[in-house]
Amino acid sequence: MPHELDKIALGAHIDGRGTPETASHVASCEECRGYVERVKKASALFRQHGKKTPPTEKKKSSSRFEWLVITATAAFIVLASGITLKKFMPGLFSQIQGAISGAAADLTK
Amino acid sequence: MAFNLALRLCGDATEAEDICQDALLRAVKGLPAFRGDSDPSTWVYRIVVNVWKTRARKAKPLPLIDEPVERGPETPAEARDLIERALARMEPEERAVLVLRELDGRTYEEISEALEIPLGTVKSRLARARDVLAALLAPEEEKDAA
Repeated sequence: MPHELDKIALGAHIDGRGTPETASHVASCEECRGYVERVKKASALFRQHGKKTPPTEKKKSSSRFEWLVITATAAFIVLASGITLKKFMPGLFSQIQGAISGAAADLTK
Repeated sequence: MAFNLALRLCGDATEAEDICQDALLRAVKGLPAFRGDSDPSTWVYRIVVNVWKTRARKAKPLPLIDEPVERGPETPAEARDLIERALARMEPEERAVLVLRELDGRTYEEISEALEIPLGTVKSRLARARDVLAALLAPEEEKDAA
């Protein structure tokens, strides 16, 4: 016999909080059982596809990370170049210093 | 957790970030008043929902597509589209109950506490939200066709 579905009671049944009366009714009523199955299926799809990820936050943090890596790499290259030049061309720094001093002396004349 | 709730409530990532920022400020201000009677996450949920409610009064509603649905989704993209349509058909309060129950696995009591509504209201809003969801994601015609 057709009847109005008590969707609140069926919801409680789905969440494992229904009464024994609801459980036995669902077991014997095709209409209510069909509704419960549809709601369970829809809820499962919602749980599976309903979550959204924060794309902007991820992009920001990834961009920040990239800049940190670039800055660290650049600092390392400058440092390594300085050490190498000093080691293999020890006269270079005194030559540069001499050139700067000479230019400064010319300016004060 | 708070971001996902905010995102599902308002449907926009930038708006959700703003809600979380406001909620964080309120949480910091309200921390001395937090007595620890409830789960801290429920307390945070309540703040997020309250911030969202305040902002929602001024916000535009989600775009409503009222076309009938004859079959359930066949691809993940279709499922996501139908979920968006279902959420747009719900009242914001129903959406909040559904998100807390289905996506965060909160109990009726926790939802009642977080949204400051009676247990009976949690049940009725959840039933209505699930009804809308089922109408789009698992329509009755599909059962008949099977």
